[in-house]
Amino acid sequence: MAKIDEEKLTMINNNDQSPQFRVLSEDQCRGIIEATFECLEKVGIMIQHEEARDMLTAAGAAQQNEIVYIPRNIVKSALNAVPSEFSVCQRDDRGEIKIAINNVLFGPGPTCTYFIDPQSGARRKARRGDAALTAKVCDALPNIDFIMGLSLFDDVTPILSPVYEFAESIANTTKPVIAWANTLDTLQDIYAIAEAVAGGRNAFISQPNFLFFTTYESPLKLAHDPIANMLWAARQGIPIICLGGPTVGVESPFTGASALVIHLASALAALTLVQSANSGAPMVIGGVPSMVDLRSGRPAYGSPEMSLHSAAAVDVARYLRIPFMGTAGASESKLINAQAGIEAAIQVLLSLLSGAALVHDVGFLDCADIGSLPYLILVDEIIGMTKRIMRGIPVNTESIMFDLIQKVGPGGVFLNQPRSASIYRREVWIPTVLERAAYNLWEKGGYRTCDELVLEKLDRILKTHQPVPLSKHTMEVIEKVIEKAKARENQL
Amino acid sequence: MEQLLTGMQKCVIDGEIDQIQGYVNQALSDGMEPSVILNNGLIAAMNEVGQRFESGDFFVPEMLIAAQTMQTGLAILKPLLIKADIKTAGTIVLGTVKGDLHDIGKNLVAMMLEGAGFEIRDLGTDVNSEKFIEAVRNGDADILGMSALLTTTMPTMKETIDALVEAGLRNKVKIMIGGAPVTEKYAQSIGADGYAPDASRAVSLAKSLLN
Repeated sequence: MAKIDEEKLTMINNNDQSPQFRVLSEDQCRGIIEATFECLEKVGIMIQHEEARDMLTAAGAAQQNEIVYIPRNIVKSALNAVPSEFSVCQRDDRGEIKIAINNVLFGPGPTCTYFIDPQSGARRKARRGDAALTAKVCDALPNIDFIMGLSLFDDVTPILSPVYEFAESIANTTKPVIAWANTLDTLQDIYAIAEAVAGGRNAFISQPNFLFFTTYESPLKLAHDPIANMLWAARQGIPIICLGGPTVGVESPFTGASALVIHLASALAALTLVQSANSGAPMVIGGVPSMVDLRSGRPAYGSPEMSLHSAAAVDVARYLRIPFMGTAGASESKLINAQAGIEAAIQVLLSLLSGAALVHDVGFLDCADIGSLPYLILVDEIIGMTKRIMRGIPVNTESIMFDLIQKVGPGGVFLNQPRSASIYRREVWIPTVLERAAYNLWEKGGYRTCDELVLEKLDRILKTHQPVPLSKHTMEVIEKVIEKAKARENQL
Repeated sequence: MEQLLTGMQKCVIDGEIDQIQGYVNQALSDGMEPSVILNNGLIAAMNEVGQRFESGDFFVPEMLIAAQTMQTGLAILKPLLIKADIKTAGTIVLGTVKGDLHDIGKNLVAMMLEGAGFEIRDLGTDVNSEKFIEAVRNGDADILGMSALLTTTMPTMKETIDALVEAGLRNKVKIMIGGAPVTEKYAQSIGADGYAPDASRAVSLAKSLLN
């Protein structure tokens, strides 16, 4: 055998890469962006907030009633101002988490009407306590990086639902929480809690422990409360995520390209407002450009087009250097079954390949109507598998292990070689709920399937996992914030 | 005559929006009664479209284009029907309730109901109980339809019904509700007359409420 040239190996080493994937070429990205600028200039965007309209017209935009026509130079200066990456922190000082394209982070989604009761396994209305359970489980899962509530509480004053949710979430995890809000009052309640947890305003600013999530509507509309909340959050230095549709076919024509333009125009209008309120404010744009289901008219999270369009939106966001929020682990199925597995696997794989910064909605069933912790656990496993693929194959002297191949030689055994065995944990992905036993042992073990292993894992986490608690003092402050909010809403 | 009606029906079913007025005008100049054109031509075609949807041959886009074609044909008939004092299938006031900005489902229901021959007054999104009541008080609505996507906004449905009772208007209209979190049980509990789980079933519900 010819000896491998050291120089050649160095060359290979320099070319190491993870799997690569793109939906849109750079030319196609430019085509979408050009059409988006034209859309903002000629079609305009509905802005249901007077101060916001005034800010844009003062900068040179034209206005007719609630529609504002934004020239590209205003949008371009906002794009120059927005940071391409920023950090949020874990509340127990375990370090910062970078929010940027190609650093893909996963977490659940918000506001499910129903929740799978962990005790009975039945679908019931979401209620207080469900966000705490979600946060606790997410805290324990290795591939979940941020928290959303998977629930819309049905047993509280409706407008305060996100405040209760945030209080529960941040108390049950150290991972960053993504919060949504109703009125500005409720966002201010949430911020008061976050500030108490961080230990004051300066501590929050240097290490934000939550991101504020809000939405644009499609086609081309920003409603009053989301704008009021975004402007306030921007001025407070709270990182903002603005996400929306369109549901393709209903809120945009049936083509992916038109959906991308409608998504981007709305998101960039929001981004322009945020940067006008506070230049350099950290922001993520997002979209769930799912295909409409042709029978129900509902957005189909499980559609292949949802993942395709989202990956394309990441290409455009990467071109513009803005972090993007996408979607994965969200099934149309009502139960955990083959369909739920297929849909999540494709969504997770495409999300990781595309490099979306934040990927939410892990744990959604039934078109975002059901929050499911068992499904969250299954998708965590899928993310683990896929992240292993994303690490690719490093090619260098150390990884080729030519010496070891030579030492063991033809017909030999590698399993007991210390040099190879010592690195197996780095190389081998180890399943936790996927079932791989030999048939005889499987039979002896009581025919346990992946679904049962998921429930066992959930049960184990709920019984044994202890998130780092908040101090008694902080819990008291949170309680006071909620009491004050309740009193305010009762007065209205 | 029969051939003309068959052609008109096919025109609606195929969504040939540019040609429907030609068929209707032809039928009128042949001396066909407007009510016959409406019932045996346009509405008969929409019934066929509904059946194709139920059986899985048609999807929502085909239904909506057919409904629009039907409306385009109906536009010619409307003044004649009014003159002859022939009523539409009924008038329905629709809206997404206060605090809720989701209108895809409500819009779909509106388009489907129009296709079935109903007159629609769409109040839009974020509609409070006062606006619903005003529409019932001032109009000739046969049905009031309310939609919500969020559990947090559903209470407005009950508020509206309670307020209608208080205003002595409850017996003036039938009430139907819908939206992802809404259930049959909820509809009963707040005193609505009916609930439909999707747009196509909203049409059959509306028809049954007025029969």
